[in-house]
Amino acid sequence: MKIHSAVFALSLLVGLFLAGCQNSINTLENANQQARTNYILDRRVITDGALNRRLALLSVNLYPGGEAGSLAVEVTAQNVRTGFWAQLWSGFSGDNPYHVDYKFTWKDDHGMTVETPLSVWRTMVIIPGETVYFKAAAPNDRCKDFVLNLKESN
Amino acid sequence: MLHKRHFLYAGVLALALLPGCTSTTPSRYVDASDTTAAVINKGRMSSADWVIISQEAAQAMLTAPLFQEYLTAYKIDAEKIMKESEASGEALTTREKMTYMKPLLMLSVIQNNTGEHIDSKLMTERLREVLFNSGKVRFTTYAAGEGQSFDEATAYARELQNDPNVNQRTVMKKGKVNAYDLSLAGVIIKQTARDGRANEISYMFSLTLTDNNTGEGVWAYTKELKRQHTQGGFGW
Repeated sequence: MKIHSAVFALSLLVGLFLAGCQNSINTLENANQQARTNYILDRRVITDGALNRRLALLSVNLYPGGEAGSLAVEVTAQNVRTGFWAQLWSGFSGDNPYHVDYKFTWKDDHGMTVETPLSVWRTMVIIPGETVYFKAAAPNDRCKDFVLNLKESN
Repeated sequence: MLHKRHFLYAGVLALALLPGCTSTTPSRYVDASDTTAAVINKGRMSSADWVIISQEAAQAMLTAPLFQEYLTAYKIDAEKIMKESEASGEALTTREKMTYMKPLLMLSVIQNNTGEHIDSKLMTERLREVLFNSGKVRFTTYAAGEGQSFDEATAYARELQNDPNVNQRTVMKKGKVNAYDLSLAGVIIKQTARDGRANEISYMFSLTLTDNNTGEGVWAYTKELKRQHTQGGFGW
């Protein structure tokens, strides 16, 4: 009975210690947002459920371009793998911090993809709880649509 | 007897491992724009570094509000000048009208302060492609900074007027090459740091787009690419 209690107490201590070692991001922003954002609806194809659960895609902001600049898109995402067990598992699996590869592809007004040095696979390192922004500018004014590919880094 | 058997096992194991050690994978094409799978030089600039900095710099330039302001002002001024020219009786061709609406870019000098033998055209050629295809600027190949590509054919085409074999009606006229409005210059600086087996290498890219009419910058960009690696205990 005493041994069980000791093991339980030790486990609790280790758990509290590990919980203290969590390295996640806290966030603060002004409550009354002043920016004239242009959040748009998106269409998603999910083939990696784990990536979808870990990296929450929160919003897609499309800057329409025109006289003041090129068409640009910004996808806001957050690493939501923040709980104790989630981070413990991420630590074991080597996913803390989380490495995500991404690439933007642009399509012109005929729906054809545009070859450009702007479309490259890049890696983003994301700490648990961190909000990140995948951002891209359209290569020219004829571009109307975009595709964002995301995958876990190898 | 036991020793002989051990030697036999060791020999078989060595033979089994040997093909794995000596085999090489065939050379195959990979996606040059995939920086996540690229082979990176530990202590030197790599192909992926150029891809990344070109993409980020081009994206920054396309979305820079001050550069957009310059382009808008340039267009307004160009329209005004063309109206005045036409009012004074000067006939402008359609091609001239189209080109006068966009500033002419010249690739100037990119200083190499890295100590490495690098070719900055790996960045400037990509930037030029993005800028030109964006429809925001034109570019000249008549003039270029040291280390950048320029085409002597434009100047040589004027010299053909001395060639009796050339139809003189097709020879390019003098005074038709346009002077550039913008120049893209910059510097690349390398820094290294080492602490025990931990190594760090960084490249600082600083680019400036200058309005050559006034000498004032219309866009400035600075980006540092930093990479780290830890040397193995027995590594080289």
